[in-house]
Amino acid sequence: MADVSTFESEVLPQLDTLYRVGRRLTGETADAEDLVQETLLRAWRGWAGFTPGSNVRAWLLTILRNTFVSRWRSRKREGISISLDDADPHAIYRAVGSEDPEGHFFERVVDAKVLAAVEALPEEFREALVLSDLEGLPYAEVAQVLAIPVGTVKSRLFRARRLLQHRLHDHAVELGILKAKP
Amino acid sequence: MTTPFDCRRALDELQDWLHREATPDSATAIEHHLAACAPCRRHAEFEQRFQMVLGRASGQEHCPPEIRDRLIAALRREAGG
Repeated sequence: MADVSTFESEVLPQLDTLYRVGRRLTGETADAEDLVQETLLRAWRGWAGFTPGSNVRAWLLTILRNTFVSRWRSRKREGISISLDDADPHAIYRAVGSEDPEGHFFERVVDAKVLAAVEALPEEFREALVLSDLEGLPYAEVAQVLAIPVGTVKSRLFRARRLLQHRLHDHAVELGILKAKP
Repeated sequence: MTTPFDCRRALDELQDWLHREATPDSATAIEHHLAACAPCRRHAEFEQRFQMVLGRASGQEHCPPEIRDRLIAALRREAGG
């Protein structure tokens, strides 16, 4: 019988990370709690398969993400259309930079709006962005959790960041922080 | 004087560099380029601020204590049962 206190000492330091990622993936506090609970129970049942000393964060996030995919994803099919100006990946910088050379734009965008914009991203971009840019996982660890090549992680991140910048730019225009593009 | 190729390459590899994922050679090349090229430097600062905003927005959020308590209780029920 495995020792639950050993399990807890490894796993509970990751609880904030699991909760935040769950929150961003599901978009709901209650769903995040359910998702993290299911993750912890699955992790406990699979604890014998965990290699001591290996990356517990990546192991847990993989379980969380697989649980999300199997139990939540089918419920929430997003119909968000993706329009990205792939031809000019730096368009948003130029739009913001010309209006806001001092760089106050990001200071004035409130955190709640940033997180809401993250949660509105299409799922495949959102999960990569949350793991990399919000939680600070290295690309290789993001690739491990999502079971995709590092090159795919990078291309999803590239598109996710552009989409997010577009949305924050639109938000800043709505607030009058930036002027609309002519 | 920097050439357009240098700017394009620097911007293509900027994200890797910001995330400390660039190869040492690429990092050195980008740093040299940014030191010499003010437009790319401003662009890099923009991307850096964007990353800081993302980290700040997320980093302040913690698992609420009541949820943490319920999660631990559920785990101990499972482990004891």
